[in-house]
Amino acid sequence: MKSDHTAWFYANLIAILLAINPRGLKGVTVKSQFGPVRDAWLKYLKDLTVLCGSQILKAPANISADQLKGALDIEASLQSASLVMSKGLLERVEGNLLLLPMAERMDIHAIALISQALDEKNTIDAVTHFGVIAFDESDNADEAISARLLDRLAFELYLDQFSLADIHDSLEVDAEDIAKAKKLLPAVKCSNDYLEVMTKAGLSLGVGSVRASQFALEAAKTLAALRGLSEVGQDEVLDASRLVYTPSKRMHINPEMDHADQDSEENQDEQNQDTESQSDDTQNDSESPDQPNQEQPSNEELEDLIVEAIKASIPPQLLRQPKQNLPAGKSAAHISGKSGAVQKNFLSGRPLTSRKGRPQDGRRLDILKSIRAAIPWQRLRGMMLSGDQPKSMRTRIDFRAEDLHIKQYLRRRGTVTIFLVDASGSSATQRLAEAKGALEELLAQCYIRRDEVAMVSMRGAKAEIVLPPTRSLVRAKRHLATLPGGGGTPLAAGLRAANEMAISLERKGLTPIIVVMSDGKANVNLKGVGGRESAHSDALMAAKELRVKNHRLLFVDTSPKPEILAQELSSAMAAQYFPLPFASSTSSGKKISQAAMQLANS
Amino acid sequence: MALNFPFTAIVSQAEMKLAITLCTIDPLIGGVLIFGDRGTGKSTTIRSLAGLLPSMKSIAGCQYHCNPDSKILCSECEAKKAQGIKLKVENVPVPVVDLPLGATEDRVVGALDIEKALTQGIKSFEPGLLAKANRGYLYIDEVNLLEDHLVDLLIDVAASGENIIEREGLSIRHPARFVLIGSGNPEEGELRPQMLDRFGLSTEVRTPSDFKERVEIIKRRDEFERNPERFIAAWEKSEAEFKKKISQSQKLLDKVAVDDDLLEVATKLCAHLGTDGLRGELTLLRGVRALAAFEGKKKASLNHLKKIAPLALGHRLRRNPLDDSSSSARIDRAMQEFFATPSK
Repeated sequence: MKSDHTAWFYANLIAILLAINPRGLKGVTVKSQFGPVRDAWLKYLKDLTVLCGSQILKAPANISADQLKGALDIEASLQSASLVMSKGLLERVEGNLLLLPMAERMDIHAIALISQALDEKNTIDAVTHFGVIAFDESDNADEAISARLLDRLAFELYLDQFSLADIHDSLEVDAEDIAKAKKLLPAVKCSNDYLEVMTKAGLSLGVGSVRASQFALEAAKTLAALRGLSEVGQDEVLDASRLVYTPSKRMHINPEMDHADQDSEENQDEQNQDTESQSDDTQNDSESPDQPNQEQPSNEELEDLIVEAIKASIPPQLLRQPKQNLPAGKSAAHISGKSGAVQKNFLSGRPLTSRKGRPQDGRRLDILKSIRAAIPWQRLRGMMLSGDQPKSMRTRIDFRAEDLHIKQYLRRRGTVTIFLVDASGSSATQRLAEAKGALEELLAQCYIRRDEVAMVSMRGAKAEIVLPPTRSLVRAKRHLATLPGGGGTPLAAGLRAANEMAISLERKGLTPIIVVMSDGKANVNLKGVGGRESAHSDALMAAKELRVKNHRLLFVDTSPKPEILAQELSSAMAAQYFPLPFASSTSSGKKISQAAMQLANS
Repeated sequence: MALNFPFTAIVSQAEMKLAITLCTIDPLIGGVLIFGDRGTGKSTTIRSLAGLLPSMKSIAGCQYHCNPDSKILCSECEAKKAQGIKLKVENVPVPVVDLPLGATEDRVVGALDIEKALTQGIKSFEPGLLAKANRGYLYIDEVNLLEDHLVDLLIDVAASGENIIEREGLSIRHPARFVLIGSGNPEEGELRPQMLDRFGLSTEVRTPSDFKERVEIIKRRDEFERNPERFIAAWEKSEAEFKKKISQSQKLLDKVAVDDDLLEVATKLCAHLGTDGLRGELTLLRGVRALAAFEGKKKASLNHLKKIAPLALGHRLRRNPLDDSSSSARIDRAMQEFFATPSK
């Protein structure tokens, strides 16, 4: 498969560019599961960085702000009786590359510190710059890498598409090439025309952030430097745009369009691959001769060319596919691995002030605080002791038990209300409006309660997350405004989706509440096939799965009069049953939100 | 010190620049809140502020840069004054302090000086970021993600202008008057209404969609990164001019007259919009004055009011969860309503 080879070469190229110019390009997000392909890519990059005389520093998975910024080095401080600060990772990484494993699980504060450092250190000073390689191992929609970090890194790489066979040969670069490129880079120029073309192409592709356009320019320059050119040419413009304007850099595609794409996806697949290999071919052709007398297309044509090339490159749906095909066993193993982390959680979370106490049952001693508590007493204690104790027995700091402080953490036990909404043809418009009303009603309470809401809709043959957990009114509004309705009722799939979401939220230390809004008349089973019988038995099964997990549940029966099927389901999942005959949307929204809040407080 | 991108070289984003300029002219306006998408130049603009500020007089050696002309001094300077020691005065740059997101409470309010405690065994106070920011600016990036306990603390200090420390056997109070500047992305979480109210002005920034502007931004940024010294030198003249304009406006500020009619319109507008509290009116008034001074006028006009109202009142509107338009759209609508009806 030729196209995969070229794609792998592009992955190589990204590594090379990053090794040459970490200051301007800042880094790459690697979306991939752990595996040999990723290892191969990392090794490739490692070899390159060694050539450049720098190294890759790996951050621990649960890195804290202290580790990043540097903190008091207690041992050294006590030894030398003066303040010794340990160097933080952000300081040590200067001039090197920082590798962030499991970037999607990182604390938002750590991400904020890293992105702040990227902004400050990479701008001017040639010495303090560093690059970031963020490994994004998320395999479902509700875990994703922070958009803040994503926006600040030039490239994005999807490695799940490769098999081992695709990667056996890589682009070869030697130290001399890189050194030359590094030297050449500051002198590389880019003409205004090309700059305009790149920016325009970015705009028409819906690239919102100015950073992305900036990265495209940097990438084009670095490419030119690599190819030994002193000015950015047309090929560089094309390649750079293609590398930088990745799907997630582009504006959020609204769900409606997403569907339209998905329907025709299968047909497009092959077409896309054809066009892609074709465009690659043309590209290779134009690359190899590289003669100045070659016919240059006008700027508009070039812009179109860029847009075409990017549109022809792999669509986002295709990239998501390999993740969906993960074997079930693997994801199960994943979960059990993480559930261990939950138990440790009662000792972690947001730091609070320390309090007096002994470091027992795994509680951590706050050394700094303990010293602080001991310091004021040192002279007094010293005077008391000096008479009756030999000098050698005395330590530098005389600790008493009452000085000891232990760390305390605040574990955020917020609640997330997951709305599972039946958006099928029969109940769509009216009930959907009610669900939206309830959702917004809950959101309005968020100021005080600091709760989050999420929404899963059941429609057609499958359930989908329309609104990932959020506390933001702005975001909820935008997602809800485009919520489509119509089709069958895949109740079983919906219950499963809500269950999965609830489990993953629980893992993060949040309390999920599920509000099911349905008439209980399932007509699509788990396989996505119509038929009331099998659909209902599947739904019952999924309901029992929910019961096993002991979630807090509210079943809102949306049929005109209480429905036996709904009651059956409700009791199968041990939910609170809540019949809701026809009413105006605002008042019923209030009722639902009240009931959900009662459930949260129970 | 890191070199900052020149303020005057920032392309477009007029509203954000105006808000920051007005706050520089009259710090009493009470800070700016900037909400917007990623990659719109929020941080760049605020960091460039440092280069724009004129230097100020301060008591030499004072950790809190006390103002020698002011009656309120920190306890140390007060003690020195009482002993009859002559206080030296020096010119220092106005501090612009960055409050990083992960900052601990110790770092913000100050704590026991460990080094002195360890080496000399004495109890002394190590001032925190709030002390550093006294008489200057405190910039909080991602203000909506700030820890709740820090938000409470900041609200309290910003309101009282004084930082009180009672911990680890320390009992200290020192002046902490600063202008809060916050930035954030509303999609990542909302700001508590109490905190929202502390900010005098608020603005929403968007990515420029005009491609010429974008090209200009990228060109300038590229030039700057290539050779910051040269770029700054090239913009020095316009920076100096702008600086001069600001100090002129500062002098003019007290002379700007606001007549009763305009005041009445302002009050009616606030009532019409249903803003909570009097802070809205006060900021509106101060903003109008600063804008008039900035334009070199001695009398504020209705146009000034119209220009300031969205900035000063946008974030004070009561939030209706069922109304999904942005605050700027809502205030535009309300203003149109208000000025269309002849409310005299």
